[in-house]
Amino acid sequence: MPVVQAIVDGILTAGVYALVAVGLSLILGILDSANFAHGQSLMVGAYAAYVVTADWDLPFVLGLLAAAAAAALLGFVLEVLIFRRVANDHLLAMTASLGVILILQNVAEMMFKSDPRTMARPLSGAIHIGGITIGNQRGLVFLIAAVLMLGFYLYTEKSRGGLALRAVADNRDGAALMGVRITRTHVIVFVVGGALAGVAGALLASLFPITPLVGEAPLLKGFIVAIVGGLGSVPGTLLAALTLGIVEGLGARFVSASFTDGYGFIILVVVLLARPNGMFGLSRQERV
Amino acid sequence: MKIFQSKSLAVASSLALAALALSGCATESAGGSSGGGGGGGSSSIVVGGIFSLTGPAAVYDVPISDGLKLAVQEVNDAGGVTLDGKKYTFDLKIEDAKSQPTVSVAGARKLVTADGAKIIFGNGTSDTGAPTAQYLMKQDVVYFGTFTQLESLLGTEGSEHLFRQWGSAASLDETYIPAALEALGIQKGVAALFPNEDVSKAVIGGDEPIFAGANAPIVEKQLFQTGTTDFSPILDRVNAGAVDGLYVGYSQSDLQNLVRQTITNGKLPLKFVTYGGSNQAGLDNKDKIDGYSWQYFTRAVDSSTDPKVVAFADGYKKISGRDTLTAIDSQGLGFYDSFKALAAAITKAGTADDVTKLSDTLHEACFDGVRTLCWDKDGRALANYDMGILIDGQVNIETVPITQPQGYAKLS
Repeated sequence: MPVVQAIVDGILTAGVYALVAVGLSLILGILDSANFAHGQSLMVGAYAAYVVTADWDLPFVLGLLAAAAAAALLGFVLEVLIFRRVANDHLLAMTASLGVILILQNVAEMMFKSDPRTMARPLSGAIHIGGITIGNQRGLVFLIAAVLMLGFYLYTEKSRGGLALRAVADNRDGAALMGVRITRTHVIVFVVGGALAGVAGALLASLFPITPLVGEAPLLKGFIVAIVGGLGSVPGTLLAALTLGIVEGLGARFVSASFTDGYGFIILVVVLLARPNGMFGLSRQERV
Repeated sequence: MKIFQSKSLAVASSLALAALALSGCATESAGGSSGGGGGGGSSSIVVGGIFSLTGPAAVYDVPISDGLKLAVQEVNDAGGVTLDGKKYTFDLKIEDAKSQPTVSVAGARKLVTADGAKIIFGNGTSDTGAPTAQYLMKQDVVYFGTFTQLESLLGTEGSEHLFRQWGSAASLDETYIPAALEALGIQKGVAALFPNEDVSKAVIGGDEPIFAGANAPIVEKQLFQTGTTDFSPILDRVNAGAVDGLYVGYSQSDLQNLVRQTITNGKLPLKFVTYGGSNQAGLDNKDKIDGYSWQYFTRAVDSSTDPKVVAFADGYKKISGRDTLTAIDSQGLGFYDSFKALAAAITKAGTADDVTKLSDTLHEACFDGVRTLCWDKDGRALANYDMGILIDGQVNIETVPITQPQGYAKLS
């Protein structure tokens, strides 16, 4: 039964990993460059939810909406003010994203100080099924993450916007020649990716205390999941998130609790050695 | 769906990711120095402060730096110190250690070499404090620190001018742990859950005989990765039948997560003996747990009715901008009395530059401030402190007194 409990815990954790990773994948796909500031979208979402629910005493659902809106706005501003201007220089884009981290972390520390902030959980208690314990709030968090992932998958697969997004990622010049508005697609990517990270931040804030550094660990996990799953693959992201969550859960339970972050990097190395493009990655296609 | 395929990008991102993790650049921030207290000029004594004003350690270092600022301000407002008939005020120069050991050492070096500080306060955490103290041991300065590992440096060669601000973990725990176990009714044993750090291992190692002596031994040790937020698998490792309490440490985030998730776990005892000065996790969940105890290290600035503590809290609120104080703000007293003791020692020794003479004046001396604070011949502190016990939703604060050692000088 402890094995099942560890697997269940891992699955519940995977939802947030997937939400963060899918936004990272999107931006990686469009920019060909890593946005290390993605964790700050999560941080902004977490604090937005905290302010709405803890300071203003409004319902959690409004906190979720505020988190999505605040992080989407941040994504919009970052795209317009920074990433649009460095889109053709990967190194500059990555450096700029590191600068954004420093700025936003310090702003958050000035506004909220470094004290951990805790908001009340919308759902308390747990359900116990056959010796397995599932925290009600953790269950809710997983459910919300799963619904959002499904919605995002349907958007990318079934909508015109999603088609444009995939076209730009696959071949930017070709997409432009076919009439896809590249700049608009970039904005959508940053806004949607940011909103998903913002919601992930709100969900994390409902489970754990938050500080201005709340985005760091999920960013690392998000990168691992995005790369292991195969950049840009929603099913791959989900599978990688589940794998990481379960391996971490089992590892912390049965191997060592002081090595939790290490399991992800082991998975990363093993998958990159076996499948360099990730679990759901296709072979490399050079753009000409 | 396939949006993007790039082997090279995946590899590059992995490398960059590892670089980000290793460099810790995400915790870095813009810094600089800030003044406090008295003005500069020839009639001022430079006092250096090296504190993590940003990054994870800021939660401890900001309160202790605010307490130091308050002490400097009060001493300066009272006219400073008089040496050879001339009045001197203190010029406090603070550097941001940014929670990074290398930045902390660089900041200390600047204070010593560029600012000419002979007296330095700083470092509430061991990761920045240990290398900084080791650097300062080779300089001609008096150093006051609060971090845990300073205890192991005291009494070693070159540590003649180092001073700690509260008693060692072992000395505090000798009184705190038996009192907490008795108050919470823990009789069978405890599981210790701490971050996997040298400090934790030292604390648990030192406390094991104390728990055993109180007939509630540490029967399990679970060391978790620093920064862990999901404690579910770790709590599942604990043999619930073997313990009737948890000994947990020590950051505010860890305690919040551990208490909340232990409640959700539903199988473990809900009595928490905490190492560290945070009571927020207990207060936030007071109706859902059976008991919670904590140390203040200094005095209970958030709840004490002692007039001395209340007066400090009023001044501290103004200088820190905090309207409501919590247990973590008791760290603000870390350097408050120490600085006032130092000012008294400067007057008594008749010098602010002769480091040996200053240290000799501070050794085996006591200062009666908000705390009663004494230093032994090695710079180890002996001071009274408060502890908190939460049972049935009610908080009780108890002051653990000290007996001033005989033959120690009085600083006033």
